[in-house]
Amino acid sequence: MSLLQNLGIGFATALTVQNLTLAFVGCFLGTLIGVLPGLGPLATMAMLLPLTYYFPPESALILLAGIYYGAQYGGSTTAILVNLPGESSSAVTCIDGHQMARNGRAGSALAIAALASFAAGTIATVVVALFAPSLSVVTLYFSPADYFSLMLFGLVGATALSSGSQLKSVGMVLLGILLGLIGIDINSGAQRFTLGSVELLDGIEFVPLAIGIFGLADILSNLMRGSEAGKDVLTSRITRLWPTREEFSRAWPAALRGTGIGSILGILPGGGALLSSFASYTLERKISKTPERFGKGAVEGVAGPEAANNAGAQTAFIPMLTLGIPSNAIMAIMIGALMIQGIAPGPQVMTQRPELVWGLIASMWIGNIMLVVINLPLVGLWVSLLRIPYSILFPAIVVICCIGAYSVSNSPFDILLAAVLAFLGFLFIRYECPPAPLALGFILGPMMEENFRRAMLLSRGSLETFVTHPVSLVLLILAAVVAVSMALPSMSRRREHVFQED
Amino acid sequence: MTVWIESDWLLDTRGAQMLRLKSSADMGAGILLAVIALAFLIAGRTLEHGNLVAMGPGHFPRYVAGLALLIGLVLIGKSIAVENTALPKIAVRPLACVLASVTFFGLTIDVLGLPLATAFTIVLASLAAPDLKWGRIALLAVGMAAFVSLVFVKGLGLPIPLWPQI
Repeated sequence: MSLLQNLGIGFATALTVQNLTLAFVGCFLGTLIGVLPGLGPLATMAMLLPLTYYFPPESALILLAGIYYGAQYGGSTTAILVNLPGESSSAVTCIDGHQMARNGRAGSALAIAALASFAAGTIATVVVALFAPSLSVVTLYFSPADYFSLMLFGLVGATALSSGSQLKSVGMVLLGILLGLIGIDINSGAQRFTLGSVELLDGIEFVPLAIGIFGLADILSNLMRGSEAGKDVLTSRITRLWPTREEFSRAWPAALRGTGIGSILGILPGGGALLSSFASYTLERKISKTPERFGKGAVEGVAGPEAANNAGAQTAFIPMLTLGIPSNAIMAIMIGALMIQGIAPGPQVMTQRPELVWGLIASMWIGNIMLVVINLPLVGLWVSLLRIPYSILFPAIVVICCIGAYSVSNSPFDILLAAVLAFLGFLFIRYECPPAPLALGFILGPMMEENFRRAMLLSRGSLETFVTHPVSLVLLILAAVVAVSMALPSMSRRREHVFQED
Repeated sequence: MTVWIESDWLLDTRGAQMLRLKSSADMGAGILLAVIALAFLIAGRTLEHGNLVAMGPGHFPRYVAGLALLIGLVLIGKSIAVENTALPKIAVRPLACVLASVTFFGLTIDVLGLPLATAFTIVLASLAAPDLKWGRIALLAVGMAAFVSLVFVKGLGLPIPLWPQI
């Protein structure tokens, strides 16, 4: 099928009243939680995940995706006006965006952020549309050994690129795998780690896990740190939204470079919005003829990272859609949404359910238009949200987390499980263990075991099968290269440098 | 720097030094990881191991848990070997209040119904905040009870009981 035909299917799906409404709701909610510091897209998507069961699968993905890239837009508003990253990937936007606001250029900083995001979103949508089909065709010929190595490579890459200690990231992946293995073993029928509990026979549901370690644990650690609300908001100075010609001509090349960086880094395991924006800022500062302007309100420092984080947010969908492999925790939630619908993630999704994949791609582009409209004219509304004190916000979030955990299978047990996992998640944050690799391990663990088992069955127990399959061999070498190079002192120092502003 | 630390250690702060080591992030992470990995090893000790051709249910998890235990021990070792910064104290009140409110919701939702369980959960969770404004909390409790009942049960049609079940 041609690209145009595919896009035709996509727009036909995305332009139905229900899907347009859900895309709008997603973008609106995404902007809302993106603006509010202390509530991220991960927690929100986890809370709403069970609700998506009541929609068709493509609508579910459209809603969740809208929340994700909507949060990228909303996060930059808070970064520029309050100097707080409303969302972690807008942390670098604080640096120059807020300085622009202090110089009385808040309006054009907001406009440049939104326009750069829109341009990047449009280009990245085309990238996804072009590359997703070819990748999924390749993987149809993967053997179980290839799959196992692919997942291993994904996990290694995700731990190498995640912020914080690599050793702890690996530990978190392993814990995630163990939690994912709880329940009845499909091959032998044996009960594993259920401790005699009937509720655990089907394993831990992904929703209470995500709600516990992302939603509730975030609340706990926010409360420990004390509320950050009540900072001065630079609202009175938004007078002129449109950037000057000079700002514009400096911004667009930076936005294009940012889009390129974001598109590439988004596809990598562990990549996505956060890493892309940091990399783009570093590049802009390096190639600028006047690097001294950075940190004092350089337009490029806003346009580049904002474009990069949006492009990265979008191309991160490529491995999820084509391989069924999540490259970051957000994509793990997307896969969770598919599994709730009874759809096994993998390359066959692309061929068997084209309306799902292409509908999502088309809706991303429509969503980006909606976001420019939602964000620029309504900026006053979003800013007023920042005045809501956290002491009102968090009890409401707690209740919605509880309802979310309950509604997966109407089981109070899942709420109690979420409470236990929240405490665990709180300890993770306290001990500086990144929770995202745990979610990846949780999703990938059972798949890895299954593929390992199948590979061993096919090769009659010979581990050589992993090096005799060429695809598997290449992936294993790549994984080894990534693992070794990240462990080298020079690289780990550079890694710290990249994440130090996190 | 190291010399200074050592002399500091030799003075009278031996106890404090030990405490500081105990509360470091690496130490905490290592212990947490090792304990959970051990729990999985013990809980799965009776699972059949099998061989590579016919892997038993205990095969894969045993290697994963073993590796996790190893990493936990390395983290603990690392935290003893290098200088650590102490972690801030855990504020017990927000932790207890939020976890208690979630547990409360879980235990009572099928008995009290959604609006009542929501209202009480809001009040319990609100106790976590340092500034208690009772009027505001009551308003939030009633408002959220009405909001979630309307949106989730009436609007989205989730099968959650609305009224107390006796």
